[in-house]
Amino acid sequence: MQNKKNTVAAFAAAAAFLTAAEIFATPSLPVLVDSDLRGAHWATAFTNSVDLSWEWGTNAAKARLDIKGMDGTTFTTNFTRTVSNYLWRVFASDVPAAEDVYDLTLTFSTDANAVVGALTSRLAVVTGAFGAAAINAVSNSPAWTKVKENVVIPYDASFSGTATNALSTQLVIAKDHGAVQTNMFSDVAGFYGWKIRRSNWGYGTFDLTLTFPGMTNEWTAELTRQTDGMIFGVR
Amino acid sequence: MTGVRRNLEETEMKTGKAMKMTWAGLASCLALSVLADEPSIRDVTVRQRWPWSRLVDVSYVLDCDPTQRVNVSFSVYNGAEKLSCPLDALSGDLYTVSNGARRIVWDPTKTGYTNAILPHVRAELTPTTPPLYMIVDLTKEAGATNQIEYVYEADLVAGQWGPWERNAVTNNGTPVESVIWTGVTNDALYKTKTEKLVLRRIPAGTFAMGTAVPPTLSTTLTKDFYAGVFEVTQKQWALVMGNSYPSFYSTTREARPVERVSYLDIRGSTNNVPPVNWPSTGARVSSTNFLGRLRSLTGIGDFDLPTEAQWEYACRAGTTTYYNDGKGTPGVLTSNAQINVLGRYKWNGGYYWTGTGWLSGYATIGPANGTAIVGSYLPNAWGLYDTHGNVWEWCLDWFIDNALPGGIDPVGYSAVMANRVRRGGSLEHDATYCPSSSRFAGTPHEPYWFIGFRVVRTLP
Repeated sequence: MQNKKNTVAAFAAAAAFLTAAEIFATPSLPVLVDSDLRGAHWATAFTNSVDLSWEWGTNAAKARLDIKGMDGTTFTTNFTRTVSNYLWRVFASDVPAAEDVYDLTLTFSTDANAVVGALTSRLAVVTGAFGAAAINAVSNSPAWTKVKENVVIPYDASFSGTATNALSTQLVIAKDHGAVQTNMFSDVAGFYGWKIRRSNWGYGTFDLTLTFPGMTNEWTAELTRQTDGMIFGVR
Repeated sequence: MTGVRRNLEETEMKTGKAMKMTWAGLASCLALSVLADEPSIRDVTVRQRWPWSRLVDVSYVLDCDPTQRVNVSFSVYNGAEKLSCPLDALSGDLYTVSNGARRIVWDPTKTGYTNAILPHVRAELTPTTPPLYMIVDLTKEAGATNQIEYVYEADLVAGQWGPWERNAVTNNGTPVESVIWTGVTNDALYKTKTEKLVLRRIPAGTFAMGTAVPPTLSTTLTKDFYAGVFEVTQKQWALVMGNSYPSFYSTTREARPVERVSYLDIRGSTNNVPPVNWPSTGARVSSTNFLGRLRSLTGIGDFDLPTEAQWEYACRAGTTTYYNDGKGTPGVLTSNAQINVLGRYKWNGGYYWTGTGWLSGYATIGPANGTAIVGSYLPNAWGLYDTHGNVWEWCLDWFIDNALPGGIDPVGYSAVMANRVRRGGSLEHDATYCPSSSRFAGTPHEPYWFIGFRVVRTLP
């Protein structure tokens, strides 16, 4: 009974593209499609090999793919118009060594190197998609507020039932008596990679504020990055 | 791997099939997977909402036929250690889940761990067919082995739970599709009227309520819920409340419905801290009243009285007729053969014949008079007993005469009124008080000897 339903669904989809004589061909299996850009699932890796695909604009003759990760990964490769997909190996082993967020940019240009368009995306690698994740279940745990390595911060309008109609996200990171960084995202669910190692953030206390413009709810957190070990003065 | 039954994903990885990602700026979409014949779960992610809150998101993708709805059972481990996970620590896509990307939210703070960090947490998710019945053993503590059992249709029709019936009720000649467990009345075997609380799963749906035959007020309930198969009995009340027997009809009392319990005894009142006052305080109940104790005993935080709409939906069980037997309206409404087999009312045992006259309110009479042992009459199409007669049943809503809210998931009137709704008629009344649409007012603090209740559990 279930197979019959699946077949009917696939048949109906295929029929729109086929002539009357052709619709008796064996239909393909139906495919589930993730059309929910509001879900973090869209922006999360579940294997170490990600098949990137794109469409070419009419004026584009070549493209350049740039990938940057918090861990220092920088990767660039070029394509001609004969290629419309690329299998990207995100990390070398089957299980990632650490969480990371990668920014992807695909820049299209003409033969004369005039840029005619760009696509951007962000993909998160979180350890809980590949194995065990660390969970802090204790309120007031000192470990909760400490940061040491680069960190992956989740955001999702559905954290609060009142923000489910949100259209964008804002994450503000403010160092006490220091720099303020305002990050705007055009989606409402995903992960942000906050690179603090080998950055200009330094050490100290940071106030984080997550909001969804147009919505009233606000998430806040105070985090501290401390220096490791003792600091000695040297004469 | 996340310790999850991800057969599809494992197959994909073995065959070298890679994850496919497209650009958000394009119209094309992410191909997830071909449909599986059996529901399966993959792409599980466990991650805490750090630094925003201690809640943990367990995201997953359910692959199944788009018409199918399944439950997802959830277990969580730290390494090899299975963690205690009471049901009230979970929310999200656990029940009647359709295919696609979904999420369960786990609150680890409700588990009382002493270690500061659980370093190796993984989840195990299993899709299951929603059960027909849920059985709660009131003699066991929350989390005890087999405290909560489920009865699945496949096991029921295989005879593993004794007698059952399919499509036993027709609504004006049209069968109401349903499988019901008639063996549930065997208390000697199953303790279903005394030590265990049995609830039937009621599917979400749209129906018509009201006094017209057929009824006309369109009402939609968007969430599945479990409804008590029986009215709560005196033994069940005593097990939850600590050997308390408040009822009037005391002879062979254990399997009779509990009565002389007020609405406030069941839920709590505005005098509680924090106050309890449906609907303004929502599902909150007092921890020391029946529902609070039941929630604590079971670890299930959503036991409650039914809303009036839930009650009538469960009572009608797909019928649109005067009673829920699906038959025509009887010619004589005060006393008739139709209701004689459906429930206890004034003229089939509710009153007691002394030899010279009818007597009501005689506390020590046997079960042939006064309240009936629950499940003594015919069930409705969804296997609920005694929705007509026996004791009136408290509902959550405030009572307003001749006014039903209808609409989507109605919760009744928000303004504070004098009375709460009671439904279904009782042993004290003519059959005219007992149809599916019957409703009356009850003072919330009054413990009447002809009003009891049944519990529901609305699924998230």
